[in-house]
Amino acid sequence: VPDPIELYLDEVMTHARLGPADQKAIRAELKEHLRQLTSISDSQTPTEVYAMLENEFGNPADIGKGIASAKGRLRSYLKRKGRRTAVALAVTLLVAFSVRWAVAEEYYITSDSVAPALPRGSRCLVYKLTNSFQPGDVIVYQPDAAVKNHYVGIVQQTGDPEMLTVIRHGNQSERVARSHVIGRVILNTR
Amino acid sequence: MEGRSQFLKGCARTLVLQLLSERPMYGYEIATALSARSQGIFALGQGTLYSLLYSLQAKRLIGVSREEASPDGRLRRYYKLTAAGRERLAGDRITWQDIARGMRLVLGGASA
Repeated sequence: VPDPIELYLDEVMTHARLGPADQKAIRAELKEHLRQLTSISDSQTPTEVYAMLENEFGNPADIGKGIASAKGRLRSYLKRKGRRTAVALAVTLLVAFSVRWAVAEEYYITSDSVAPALPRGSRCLVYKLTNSFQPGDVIVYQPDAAVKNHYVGIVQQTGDPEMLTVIRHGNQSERVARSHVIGRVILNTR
Repeated sequence: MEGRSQFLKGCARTLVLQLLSERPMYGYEIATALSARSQGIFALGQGTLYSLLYSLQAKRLIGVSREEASPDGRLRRYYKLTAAGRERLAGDRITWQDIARGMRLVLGGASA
């Protein structure tokens, strides 16, 4: 005949869903209480004892759930919080990188090619979603896809549908394919 | 009955802190002391005491003072008040005095 106390504890522990360490200690602690209750009760048969426990100690499923929420609160809070933070971080990074890649990116000017409009050491924001330029615009371009170097120049002529003429260092004129242009400087820290 | 048990639950925390401020006790002791000293009013389902104890423990208001294990897998775990628990109890006593006074004033002095 199964021990009604063990049956009752099985039911509580099923709903308490504890980690192995808590599981053992809490079961033992509750068992102590239930033994004391049975020792002062005149219930005889296992069915009577089980009914007495339900009456005195409470519905085992409810007790288990109560313990689960008391014990698991911090753990489930951290779990939920951690998952949320990870998702938020991933979305933020994805958005940040897509914006940098497709919309606008910050550049640091390391030469005097467009001084004094943008002196060496300036930072600027380059807007990439445009292909219409006007004389006087400062643009960033990459003449050779295989070489990482990016150049800045000031647009001089826009008449050719394939090419732009840009000025660097005040007087050096250069022809730049429109397809090599990365974007136009829209903000700078000068 | 639902309303009554919610009401008692709110008070039980303070009463458990009070009992443990007197001396360390284990679960069964707390349950019987609560029931006896409140003349049966706080003889609520004794199992609910444990979720209360574990949440007080998680909030560091009580701690385990010692444990006595029996060979047949029983564990007598004595709980004691922490410094934070002592502070909380002092706060609860003041809150309770205010509530009791307020209730008496509104419900009428006849029953107080």
